[in-house]
Parts: sequence; C-alpha cells; structure tokens
Amino acid sequence: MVFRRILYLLLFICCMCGKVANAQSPGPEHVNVDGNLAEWGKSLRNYDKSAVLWYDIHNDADFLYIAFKRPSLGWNIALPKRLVIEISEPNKPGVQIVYPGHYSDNKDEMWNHLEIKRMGATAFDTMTIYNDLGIQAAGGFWDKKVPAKEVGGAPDEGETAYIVGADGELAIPRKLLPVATGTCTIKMTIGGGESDYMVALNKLNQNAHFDLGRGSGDGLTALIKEFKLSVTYLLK
Amino acid sequence: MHKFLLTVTLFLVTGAALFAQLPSPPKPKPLAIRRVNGVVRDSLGKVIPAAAVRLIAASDTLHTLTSEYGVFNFPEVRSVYFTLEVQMAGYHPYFKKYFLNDVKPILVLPPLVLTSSLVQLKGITVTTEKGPQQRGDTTEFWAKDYIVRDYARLEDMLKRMEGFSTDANGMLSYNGKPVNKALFNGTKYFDGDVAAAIKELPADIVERIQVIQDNEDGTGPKKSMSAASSQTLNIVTKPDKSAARMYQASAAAGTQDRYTGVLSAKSLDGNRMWGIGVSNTQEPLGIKREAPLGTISNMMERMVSAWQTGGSGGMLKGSAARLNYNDRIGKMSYSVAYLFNRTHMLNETENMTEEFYKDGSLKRNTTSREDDTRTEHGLMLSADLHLPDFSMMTQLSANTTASVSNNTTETRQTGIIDNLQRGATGMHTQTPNYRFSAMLNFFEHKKLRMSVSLNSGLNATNGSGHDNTDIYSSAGAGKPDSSLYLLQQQKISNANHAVGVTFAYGHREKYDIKLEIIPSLFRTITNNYRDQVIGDQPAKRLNDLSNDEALTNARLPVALSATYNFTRKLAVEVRGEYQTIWQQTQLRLKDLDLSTRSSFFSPHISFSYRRSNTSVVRASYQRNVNTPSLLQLNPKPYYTSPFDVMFGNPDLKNGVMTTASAEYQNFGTQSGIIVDLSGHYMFTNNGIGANRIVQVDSVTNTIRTETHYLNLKGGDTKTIRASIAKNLKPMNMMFRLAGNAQWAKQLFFASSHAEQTDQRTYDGNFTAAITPVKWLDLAPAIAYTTTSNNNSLQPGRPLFNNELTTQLTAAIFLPADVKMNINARQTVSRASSLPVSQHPFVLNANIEKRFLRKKDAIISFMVMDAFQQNNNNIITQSTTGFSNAVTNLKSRYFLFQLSWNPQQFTRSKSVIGSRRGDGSFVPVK
Repeated sequence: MVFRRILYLLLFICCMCGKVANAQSPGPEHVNVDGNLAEWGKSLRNYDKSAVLWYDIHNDADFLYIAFKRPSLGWNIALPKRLVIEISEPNKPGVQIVYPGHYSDNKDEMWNHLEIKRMGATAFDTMTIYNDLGIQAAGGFWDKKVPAKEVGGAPDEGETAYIVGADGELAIPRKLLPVATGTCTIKMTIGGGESDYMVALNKLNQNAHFDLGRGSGDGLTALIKEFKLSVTYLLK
Repeated sequence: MHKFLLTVTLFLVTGAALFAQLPSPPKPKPLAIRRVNGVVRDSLGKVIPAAAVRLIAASDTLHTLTSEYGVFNFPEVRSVYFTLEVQMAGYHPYFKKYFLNDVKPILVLPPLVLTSSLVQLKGITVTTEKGPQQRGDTTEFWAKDYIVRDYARLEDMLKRMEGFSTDANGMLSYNGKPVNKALFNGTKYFDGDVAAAIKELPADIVERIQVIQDNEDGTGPKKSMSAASSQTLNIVTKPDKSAARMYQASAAAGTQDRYTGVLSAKSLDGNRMWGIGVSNTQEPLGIKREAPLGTISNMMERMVSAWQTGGSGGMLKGSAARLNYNDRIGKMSYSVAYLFNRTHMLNETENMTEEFYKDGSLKRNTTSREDDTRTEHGLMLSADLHLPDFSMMTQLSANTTASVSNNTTETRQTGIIDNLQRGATGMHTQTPNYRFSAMLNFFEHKKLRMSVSLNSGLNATNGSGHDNTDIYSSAGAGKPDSSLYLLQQQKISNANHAVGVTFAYGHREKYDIKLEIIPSLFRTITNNYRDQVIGDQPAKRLNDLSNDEALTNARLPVALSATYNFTRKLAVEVRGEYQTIWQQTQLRLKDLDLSTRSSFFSPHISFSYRRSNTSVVRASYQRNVNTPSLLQLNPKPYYTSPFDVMFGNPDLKNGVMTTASAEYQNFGTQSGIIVDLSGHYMFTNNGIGANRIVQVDSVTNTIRTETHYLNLKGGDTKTIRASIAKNLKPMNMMFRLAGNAQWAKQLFFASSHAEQTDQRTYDGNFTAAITPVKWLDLAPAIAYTTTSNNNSLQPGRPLFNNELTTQLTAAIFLPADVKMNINARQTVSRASSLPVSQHPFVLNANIEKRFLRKKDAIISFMVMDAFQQNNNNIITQSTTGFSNAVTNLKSRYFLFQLSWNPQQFTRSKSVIGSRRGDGSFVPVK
C-alpha cells in the first residue's frame, strides 16, 4: 500500500516535471511575434490532448513568450470567451490576457486586438497588438482540406472536409508578470459558456464571418465545450 | 459528417430566408477620424524603437516616434488615403501608400519592416540638408544642426541660427522683424512672452525651432500670401522633454542701494500650464540701459514694470506678483492670469530742447522731479476653441490702476523768450479699463467660410489735482512776474466697440474672394475742468481752458478682396475698401455741435512670386485715406494745456497717402545664406498738416503756441532695408550684415509759411558669433548710425547725429564650471546739438560659478561700466527741432547675485499619442 502510494506520488511528480521540463528546455533563439511559429521548431513541444492545444513557453530577460497552435476546433477561439491566458503565482490571482480581443468579432480583425487585466485591476483594458505596454501578439485562423474520414466522416466516403485551426504567439513583458523569477502558473482557457451550438454557429457566421461550409462535424459538437490547461513554468 | 453538413445547410437556408425579409443594411458612413496603429521592425523581426514615423495625408501631416516596443500610434487621422514614411539611422527609409477602409475606427497596419542600410554606408558620403527649411509659411530649424554648450539657454541657440537677433531688452527678431508670440509644442507658452521663453528654456530640450508667419493679428494662418504677417516662434521639444517643472529663487544686492529678489515656479505639460511668481526690486533710475550680463541677469524674471524708464536719476521701488493657469476642457483651451504691480518712482529728468519757429528758436533747459506711486491689478481670461469647422478665440482683460503723482519742474527758456518757469502739479487718478475681443471662424474647411469678430473696450480715467505755474523774468528770485494756479478735475472715458463679419469663398488654392464688413463705434467723453485760484478768493472756472465734450466716431468699412493664384508660384491680390465715417461731437463749454460724414475708397494690389519654397518676391501698392478728426475740424480754440491751444479748420479735406513696397527674401538651402531686401516708398498726395504760431505775451512773460490745421500737398518717405546672414559651420561662426537707409521729406507750416525738413538716416551693423577655441565664445559687433536733418526754418544749420560703435562680447569657460563674461564697447559720437565729440568706453564684466549636484545654482559677481563713462546724451531729432536728454552720471555699479534654478524636463503625459508637425501630441482616446 505504501509502495503504491509512493509510486503514484512519483508518477505524479514525473508528470508534473514532464510539463515543466519541456517548458524549461532550450527554446527558440529569437522569437519573432508575427503569428508564424516557425522559430519554435517543427512543431510546438507540448500537446494537451484534453485542451486540444499545442503550446510552448519560453522567456528571456525582458519577455515571457507563449506560442499556441489549435490543430482543430479553431472556431472555439472565435466565440465570445476567446482564449484567456492567466499568469499567476501559484494559487493567487494573476494577470489575465484575452487574445484575440473583443474589439472586433471579425475572424481576421479580432487578432489585431487584445485585452489585459493587470495585477490589482478590476477591469480589462482593450488595446491593439501594438501597444505601449509592450505586449506583442499575432495570430490567425487557418483551415485545411482533409479527407472527411479524418474529421468523423465515413471511411469509405472519400469526400473532403475542412478543419479550422488557429496559431498564435504572445510576448508579455516580464514587468507585467506577478513574479519576477521563480515558478508561475499559466492557465489557458478556450471557449465555453455557449448554451446552444446553433446560437454559437450564428455568431460564427454573422459576427466572425466564418464560411460555415468549411468546418468539421466534431467541431460542431465541441462548440459548447470549454477547454482548459494549466502549466507550471519556471521563469529563468 | 452528413449530420454536420445537414445542420449547416439547414442553418444557412433558414438564415438566408430570414435575411431575405430584412432590408439591406445602409452603407456605413465614412468616419471623420480614425486611429492608425502599427509596429516598426527590422528584417529579423526585432522592434525598432525611436524611429521617426510620418503620416502624410492631403489634410494633415503627423509625426511620431516609435515607442521602446517599436509601436507607433496616430490617434486622429482624417484621411484613409495616406503615405507612411519611416526613417531610422542605419536603415533604408520606408515609404508606403495606404488606401484603407474608411469605416473602421482603428486601423492596425501590418508590421513595417525596415531593411538595414549599414552595408551601404561604407565608402559613401552622407549629405543632409542643414540650415533653415522652408515649408509654406513656416521656417524650420533643426536643433541638432547647431552646436551649443552645456547649460546653454534657448536664446544662445537662436543666436547661432540664421536670421535671429535679440536686442538689449531681450526682444527677439527674425530677419529684422519682431517675433510676437512664443509657442511650446504648438501651445501658447503661458501668455506667449517670447523673451521669457527664450531665456527660461534650456537649449538641450529642443528638437526643432519653427518661425510661423501668421496673419497680422497672430490669430491663425495667413489667408493669402501677400497679407501682412506677424511672426510666431514655436519651440518643438524632444518627445522625452515635453513636460517641464521650472523653479527660480534669485537674489541680487549691489551698490547704489540695489536689491532684487525673485521667487517663481512654472509647470508645463501639454495644454496644462501654471505659474506663480513674486518679486521685489529697488534700483536707481536713469542709468543707460545695457544688455544684461551673465547667466543670472539673463534668466532672472523681471516682474516689476516701471511705467516710465529713462530719465537722469532717481530711484524705483517696486513689488509684483503674478499667477497664471492655462488648461483645456475638451477642445477648448483657456487661460487665467492675475497680475499685481506696485511701484514707487522718484524720477529725475534733465534735458535740453530746441524748437524752431519762424521768429527764431526756443531753447529749453528743464529739470524735473516726479514722485509717483502706482498700484495696478490686472486680470486676463482667454479661451480658444478649435473644432474641425469652427474656431473661437476670446480674450477678456480688466485692470485698474491707482496713482498719486507730484511733479515739480523748472524750465529756463531762452531765444524768442527769456524766462524761468517753475511748475508744480499733483494728481490722484483712478484708471479702470477693460477690453474684450472675440474671433469666431465658421466652416474653416469649406469653400464658403465666415468669420465674426467682436471687440469692445473701455478706458476710463478719473482724477483731480492742481497745476501751478510761476513765471520769473530770468534769475528766478523774488516774486514771479506772473502765476497761474489751477485746480483740475479730469474725467475721461474712451469706449470702442466693433463687430466684424467676413465672408470668404475659395476654390482649392486657386482663388479666394473675401467680403469684409466691420462696423465700429468709438466714443470719447472728456471732462477736464480747470479752475483758477487767486489768493483766498473762491476758485473761478476757466471755460476757455476747460473741456467738456463727447466725441462719437462711427465707421462702416466694406472691403472686397480677391486673391488669384495663376500658378503655384504667382499670386495676385486685389483689394478695394469703401469706408464711410460719421463723426459727431458736442463741445458743451463752447456751445458747439459738429458732425461730419466722409466716404472714400482705398485700393490695394499686391503680387507675390514664389520662385521656390525658400525664395519669394513681393510687390504691393496701396492708397490710404486719413480723415481729419473733429478737433482738427473744430474752429473754436481748444486748450490742451494752459499755454497750448488748437484751432481746427472746418474746410479740411481727407489726407491721402500712397505706398508702394517691394520685398525679396531668399533662403539659400545649399549656401546657407539668408538674404532679405525690401524697399518702401510713401508719398503724401494730400496731407493734414499743422501750422504752428507762437505768441509772446510780454505782460505775463509767457509763450503761447497756437496750432492751426490745413491741407498740404507733397512729402515722401523712401526706405531701403537689406540684411544678409550666413552660418559658417566649419568655423563655428554665424554672421549677419544688415543695413537701412531712409530719406524723408516732410512738409509743415510755421507762422503760416510753408516749410520743410529733409531727413536722411543710414545705419548698418555687422554681428557675428564665433567659437574659435573650445573654451571661448566671441561675439564682435560693429554698428554705424548717421542722421542728418535740414530744416528750412534754420537754413545753413543742419542737424546731425553720427555714431560709430564697436563692441566685443566674450564668454570664457574656465574649469570647475566657472565662466567669465566680458563686454567692452567703444562709441564715438558727434552731434550738432553737442559742443564736443563723445567717446565713452564701457566695460562690463562678471564672473560666475555653477554649483550643487545638478549645477543648477549660480553665484555671480558683476561690475557694470567699470570706467564710469556710460552716460552719453540721448539725442532725438524731429521736424520742429531736437531734444537732448542726460542719462544718470552715476553709471558704475557692482552687483552680487545668487540664483537657484532647478528645472526638470520629462516625458509629457500625452506623449503616447502621435505628434503633429508643430510638436503637439494628439490625445489618446
């Protein structure tokens, strides 16, 4: 029994260390925040299956860099909850960034804006991705033609379908973070709060101007779902 | 998959059906303004801070610098069609035209990527255009092109810039014309005081200096190229030096009972400015005014204003305080200022005059002593509103002055009369006045524009006192030959009101037609009662010497002008004004009612040829009409003093003068030479002249002057002005050569005979600023002035006044922040009214040291006029004679000064906004 407990504990620590270790391994030499994730390597180094999100985190003396790739179910990021990134000391409220921002609901225009609720602030400030706080961000949706079977179609149908994904990256000045050095918790939340997928679809079509003909069936059912991810990161 | 496609199709169909029921949405209206935001990066994706970004659109040009994160923001961009220009050392300039969506309030541009030009710098010669740049009505100087020393003031930098000069009072001129107003990043510097701005502000905060040719009133840009202009200095600071806190605590004490103390604080940030200051001064009067020497003298704010300067001796004691506050509410900027000034002057004057008459000349040697105490309170409010199609400028000032003065005068008169006159006057006066002005401009960016001006003012004087005169035969001893003791009661009010309406219609820059109607009303009420006192008898009203009148003058000028630009270079302006003037007066004590109506036409035509942005030629012709005042038309005697009486002429015709002018200005952008030439010719077709008649009363031994008015034809004035300035950078030298020549023929009558004076004035000066070695600044100057006057009343006796001055000013920079200033001047002057030639040598010097950590405290010791020779006569020549005034003989003094001037310049709170060309920041919404 004791052995089993120790084993579970070790397994848990390994799992945790795994996330941390990945995050702490050498990152890109220079991050160019332009929405193109090429400098992060062939693919981002961490994948959270439940959140359906590839991500990577890196920092230098001035900035904390976060890159993410939504390999599918990209529509969720366009829904009103967007992607919320919260960076905090463990178990304390921290700084929250909403990206893309709510200034525009257009699927392309929304990536030009973000929102930030700084430490101790009661409300979000809306700003463009070129701002004097020094937060840089870039991103966008993409779609890809795939065989329909990859997205839930019948294996023999052979017809093609589309998956919608999103890539993004942010550089957050370290002076805005709640911790100067040491461990911080980074939480990412995508979507949620939609009660009815028809309502969500309406928003995607009317507000975001998505072509609803280009989407996948599993994307439809996921529209009312919230995706969450939490990472412990050690700021160098 | 089928489920999904089915759902989506269903959704689309139902949605489409729903939308089919709705009317098509209206096309959104284009926005008036939008925000443009972006980032500047290099080819590696790294952000580039401090890059200069310029947004050029048809309606405006905006400037900004990228932030430390490479970000730029233009919050108020009027057009979606614009070009972005980015410049940064080490990178190729970036230009791109944008044609964007006009309904988006925020335009986020894709990153602007600059490519490095470092590889091309090898082996090439970089040349930049230095010196003043001409852009429309603005001349711009970049501060980085001019080298100044540590702790240099803006005034020191301006001395290095082509075309600027300052006089002994700190008044700034550009190309020989005064600069009237100072702006700080496009906002009026407190009350716009140019002298204060250039002395208070340090040179190292300046990015650019602009000289703007505003309209004649200084209220906005000129509407036509040929219009008369007023010059404004705009100080554009570096973005990180755009807010200021300035403090001053200065004290000075010296020989001759000199004391001065000044405490002041000022703050500037964008539109918000405040200032407070108090000062106390005591100093002798009559010392010939010298340019202040040393840093403290130059910077010390002189708040106490003496109402009279000059004289030959005496003492001034004064205290003053001021409060200013400028700010903005929405689009409206406003300012409030309060001024307090109290002076006690004991002013002694000694002068000698000679006046020419047909029967001979009258020489007067006068000594006077004036004891005057004045207390003045002034309040000034102003508000300016600038909207896209409407602007408003209003100003209200009110002040009151209370004065008590007692004067004694002793005048020895020789020539056509020989006597000694002793006078004593005493007056208590209260002078309240107000002035209100407003200018409203409507539809400024439309084809048809309208402006309305309102002006109203009242200047009142209430006073009472006495005026006693004793006339002695010659020695001045014993009983006077005659006496005149008067009690005076004075009540004068001048009120003027004017409303102006201007309609202007213009098509692009091709032509502009303007109709101006500015009716005005001027009303003066004068009650000046003189009562004679003889012994113990009751005072007797002297109606002849008293005045009780109401004078009303109403004008209705209607002017039509048209400006036509034939090409971008040649413009012609034609203006015609038809004016009707009604005058009405009641001289109650003389039982006289007079009224006149006069109408006349004044044409004006001007040509302007702009060869390039930096070279312009102008020529103009103008005919002015001068209507006689009612007092000049009044045939009954009107006493201005007990011994001077005016007789008007009811048959007087309007005076007519013709003026022709030509100007040439050239700013050589390659040579750095500024040339300014102008010539004016003024001819009097029909003048209003005075016929002066003297009458000697042998009983009272007094002289009485009668002035009669009549028309006379002839008389002219020719003026030529030339200046050339050049900055020689390799030699660290700036020089300026300027000269004026004027010939004037004036006609007048003396004892009913036509007479004339021919006056010729020539002056020239050479000034330079040189830094031959690192520790020395030299400013040599040579000036020559000659005036000659031939008066037909005194044939064979020409009046002349010739003066040659050489001057060397040196600033020696010693180790340990010690500086010496030396000013040596040798003058040689010869004048017909002086028995001998004068050649005073004046040496002024000071030594000063900066101390404290920020070196913002200065201690100074100064000697002025070490050899006590700075007391030459001040000579004034006129058509009727000349006047020599003696300055204070005790002209040497020593002064010890201590000053602490902490100044802090920081980044303005509004600096995150984009920057306009005038340095102001567009507020972020």
